[in-house]
Amino acid sequence: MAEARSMVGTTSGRTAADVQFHSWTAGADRQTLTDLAEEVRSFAPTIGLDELPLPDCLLLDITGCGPLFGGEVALAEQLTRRLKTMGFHTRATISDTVAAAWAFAHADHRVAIIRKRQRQKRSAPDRSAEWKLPVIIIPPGQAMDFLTDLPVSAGRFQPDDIDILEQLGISTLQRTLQLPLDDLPTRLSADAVRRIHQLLGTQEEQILPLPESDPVCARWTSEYSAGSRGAVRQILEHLCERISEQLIRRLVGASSLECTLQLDDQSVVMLHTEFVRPVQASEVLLDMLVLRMESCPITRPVVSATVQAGLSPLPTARQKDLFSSTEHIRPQEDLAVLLNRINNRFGQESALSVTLTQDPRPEYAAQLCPVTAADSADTGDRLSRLVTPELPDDRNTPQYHRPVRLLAHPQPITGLQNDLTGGTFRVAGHTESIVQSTGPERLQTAWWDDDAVHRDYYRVRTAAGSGYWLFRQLQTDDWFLHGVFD
Amino acid sequence: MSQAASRTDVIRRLRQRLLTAQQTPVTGPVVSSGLPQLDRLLPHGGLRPGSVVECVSTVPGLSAATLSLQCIRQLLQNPGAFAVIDSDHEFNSAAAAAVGIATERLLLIRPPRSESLPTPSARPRQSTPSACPRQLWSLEQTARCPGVRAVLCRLDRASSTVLRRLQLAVEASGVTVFLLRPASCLKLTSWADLRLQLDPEISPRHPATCLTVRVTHSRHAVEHHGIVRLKVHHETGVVSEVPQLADPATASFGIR
Repeated sequence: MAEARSMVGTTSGRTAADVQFHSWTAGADRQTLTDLAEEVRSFAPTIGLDELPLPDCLLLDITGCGPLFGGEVALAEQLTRRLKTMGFHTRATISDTVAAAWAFAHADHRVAIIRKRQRQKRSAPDRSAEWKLPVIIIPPGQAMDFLTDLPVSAGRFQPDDIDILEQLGISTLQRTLQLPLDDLPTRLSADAVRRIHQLLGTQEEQILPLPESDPVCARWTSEYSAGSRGAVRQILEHLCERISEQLIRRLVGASSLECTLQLDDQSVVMLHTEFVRPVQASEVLLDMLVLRMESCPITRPVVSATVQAGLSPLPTARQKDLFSSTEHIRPQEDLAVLLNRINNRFGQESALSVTLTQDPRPEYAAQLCPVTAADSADTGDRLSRLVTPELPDDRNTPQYHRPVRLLAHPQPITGLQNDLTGGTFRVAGHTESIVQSTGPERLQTAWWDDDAVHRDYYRVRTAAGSGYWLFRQLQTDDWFLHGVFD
Repeated sequence: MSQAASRTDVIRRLRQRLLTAQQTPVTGPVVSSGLPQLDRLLPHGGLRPGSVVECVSTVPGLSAATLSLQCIRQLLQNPGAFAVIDSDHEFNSAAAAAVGIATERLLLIRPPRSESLPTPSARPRQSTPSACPRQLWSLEQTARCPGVRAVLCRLDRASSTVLRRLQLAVEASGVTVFLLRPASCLKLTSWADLRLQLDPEISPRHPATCLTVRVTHSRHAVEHHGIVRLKVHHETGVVSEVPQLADPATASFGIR
């Protein structure tokens, strides 16, 4: 520090009072980078530090992430903009390999300018580039074309290896990569050989992901327990606000909430909620927790409460309509809110989507499955299909009329003969007189089915005007009521 | 002007003002029901988004739900899901597909059954207990969701508070709710924007079943009159209009 202060007056012409001095520690840089990694987790699933003893950059694996941000250029621009708001001037480079991206990020543009002038003198094709840009993107497969202009220092070699290369008259990566690979171990260290292979792309380099720091969590505890539901609700409201602040700061959403309530008798009540779409708003978080709480009896006062969120990146809406940026996603968002409420109150089995099957048995003609699937992409597809007007699919459309009301279990009826017209039947002690019938429509399964069905269905109209769907079981000649044409 | 005539005139003007005060602005373009004769019967010439439509069958099994599904099919030409509140777990999705509704647009909401309520039977004329709170909650939540275009729900009984909340919910969201209600509701005040009464018309000579539809209540019309005769094809179940027959005198012209 003293040396630095003494150098200020002699070199720059300024006095020591004009310059701020900060002592440097390697650990501080590493910690700062680790903190930055938390801030940019929304841009890539894997974030790590380079392997150098004094890391000075973050490595992000953005494979497949470009479309989420509108392209790799937009991703890089948003990233640099985000870091700039935090007071950091950054350079983002995107390339095929870690080694190439590191090299381009640390490239010195003065070297590239010199090369360019040299080529211009020799009339060689100009393949240099302006490296001093905040965002540098090397097209896939073209990294080697640009790596050749960079100095040896961009190869992440150790100082000893750089000295050896300089002694050999090698100052650029181009000449370094042209060295015969078989002779490298005899001249350079094993680390240098590894770096060369990484630059060539013949050795894969993995990014060691930085573990997430403290999870998004909020906790309340007090020596005075909360005895009423209203008090518990206020506590949850406060915790949800804190959770929401953390989510907004990290630019992520909550895909699930885990709430643990400890009662005064040491018992624990767990409330688990899940969301169709990642959520940030505290009101929505609280709403879902309250819905869950309604189905869980809390009979004792609460002494502590903990809420932890499961994180999920926020989807980026991409404009599809010419005149509206939200029209195509608004119905889906509204539907997601409805599904959140229904799922969290009644469970995922309460909101179902329908797919018609080819099963001849009417009770199995439709396959029901929860709208919210385990895979969020499937859920998004289902939401999109629910709200999008399309032509109906006629492939599985029943040929004949089907009753709107189909009894879960066919009810046996008595008093019917094969000639239905004019006949009467009793349903739960009530007599209906048939004035009109249509049928039979034979529905039967294949002979090899374990649950074989052989039925002749009839559509009947009674004297009162009611329409019923009856069937006669072929094996036993028994009659059943299966549906009502409501 | 006599006193009776002046009183009648005053009552008529007061009724008009009352109805005008009850009217809400139409929240979107009126959608045809698919049946021109029925459209002429409806106050706005069709179905209004953000409204509650009650379909009351004087007898069960009168295709009231089928008629509702055909109207909903027209509404689904606009974006939004079609939600069915199926608390009895008896809704047949194949029936909706047969009417022409894509099953991908169908959202089936089945709130868990309350253990205190008996399992519903196929005896339609027996009075059923009041609606399950879970069903009412699901209905209101769905009616509040702008991402839903139409809702179909069988509702036997509900208090005025519930129906008023439902009315406010659809006015805010623009959802059209179709309620299938039993004949016992005809004696009760309607909170719906529109109440249609369906009566059977049995004619052994006709291959199809005929039914009459009349508007018994509307928030947007002073007088309710007019009947539409519809027929339900017995095989396909399609509800269509009964064609107006030509004058029998002209039909006998060719018979000599």
